[in-house]
Amino acid sequence: VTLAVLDAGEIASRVRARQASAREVVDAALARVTALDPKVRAFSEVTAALARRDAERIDKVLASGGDPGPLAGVPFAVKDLYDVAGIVTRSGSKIHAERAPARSSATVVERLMQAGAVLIGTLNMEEYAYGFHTDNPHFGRTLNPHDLTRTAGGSSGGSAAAVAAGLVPLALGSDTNGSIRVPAAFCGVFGLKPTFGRLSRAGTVLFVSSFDHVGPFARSVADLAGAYDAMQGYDPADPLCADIARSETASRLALGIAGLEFGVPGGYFGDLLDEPCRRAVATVAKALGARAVETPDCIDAARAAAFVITSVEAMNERAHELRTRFADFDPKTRYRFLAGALVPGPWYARAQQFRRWFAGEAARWFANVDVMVMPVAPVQAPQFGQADAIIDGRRMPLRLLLGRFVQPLALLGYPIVVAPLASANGLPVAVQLVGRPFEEEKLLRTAAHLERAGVARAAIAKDFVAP
Amino acid sequence: MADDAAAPDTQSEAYAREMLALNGIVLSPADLALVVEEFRRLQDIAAPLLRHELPDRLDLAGVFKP
Repeated sequence: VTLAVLDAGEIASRVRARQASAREVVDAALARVTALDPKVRAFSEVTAALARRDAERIDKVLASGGDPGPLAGVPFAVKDLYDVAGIVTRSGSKIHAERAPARSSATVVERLMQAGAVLIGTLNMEEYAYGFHTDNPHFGRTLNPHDLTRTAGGSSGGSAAAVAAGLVPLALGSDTNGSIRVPAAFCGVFGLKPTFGRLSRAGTVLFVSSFDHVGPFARSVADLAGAYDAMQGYDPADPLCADIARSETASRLALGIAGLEFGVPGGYFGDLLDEPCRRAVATVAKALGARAVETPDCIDAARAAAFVITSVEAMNERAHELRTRFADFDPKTRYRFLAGALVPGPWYARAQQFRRWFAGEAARWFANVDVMVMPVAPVQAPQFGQADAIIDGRRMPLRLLLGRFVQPLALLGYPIVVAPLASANGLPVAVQLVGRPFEEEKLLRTAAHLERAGVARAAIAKDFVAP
Repeated sequence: MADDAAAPDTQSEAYAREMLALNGIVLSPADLALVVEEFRRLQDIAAPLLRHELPDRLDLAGVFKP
């Protein structure tokens, strides 16, 4: 088996034991990207020269008896909105593609590198992270490795597809209204949206500052936790980064779920989802012994508030480009961006007030539950060009449907792990494991328990399994 | 009533044109119509928020703290 398809933990273990060199691992990963990425188009840019240089540096550290870090030699790639020193951060935009290369790397990219991981490239995304399909008009569409006629999800579609295709064991994405969670579910990989403020966003292109999170994708919970641990830590360069102590998770996964309380909310979160997605929630709820929990009767309003805040702040972030380069925006989203300029000020204030009030409601909602099990999307990965889906006999536009269960939670900033499951029809399906602020460890322990029990599983898509 | 009379029709193209102009953006009539259509869609989506009753005197301090 090629080194490139091993999990991050196995790669680091072999490199640290000098059973394989970082250079060998990186060469294998680059060869695999060259051979297979044209099938899924996950990568925006492959940074082969930088990767080989960094791998050789790690091998030198090892040769001299030093410790290159817990992720020694692990190839990773990042959504094209993370700054990487020497590379242009395009953010999926032809306008940003004309900018000068970044002079330094995003904080979390630096931290992964300091832990020994080796960046091998940047990954495709929706333009400016606005959308759930990764069908980029400038740089192409990313395909779902499990079914090339279907979307990988978005906006971090390249990140999820690269991990699902076994091109990298780790990737970084970002989540505003579900942009880690939806692609993780559609591509059948683990994803983590940490607590708002837990990981630094310094050196990333913001979309909606009130909601933007950065986070990892992986094919195992241990890898997800390892990447998360390596990225933790206060960063004064991000004004919204929380100044709280690091909380190591990877070493605590084996603690299991004893003592944790699980809930499965009904109402809004049990309505309007298709059978495989409903079954996934039921399967995980049963495996965890989750009890039924009432859902506050305000989730529609929470989603509306998230829409309003997104519209206003997305317009604000891109105002200069919209003023000067409107015609160069994705036709699918440029009118959505501009609609944000029409939102009356009191709506925005009300949305933020609602957010404040909802935080109190959610604290009561989660008071006796450590982990809530919820659906991610109401449907599995749709086909390209599919505009709607029929659920419970109702035809619903996908544009509104896909964010149904992820967007209301954007307001809360609570940590969420996406745990993928196999389904009878061969397409991945997944659940959200939602916890209280800064309690990522409980979510990761829960996901690890589900993985050990064979309930959750992230495998390389069958057409991409190494010979 | 006087306030109602003075309130802008947020679904009109005139309102859209004015708000975009405030942002330094001038669009063709066809593009403007599409922005108005998008905003009407957003207005429908926002309705549950605008209908939701909130306590009085809810300030925004700490809104970014999860």
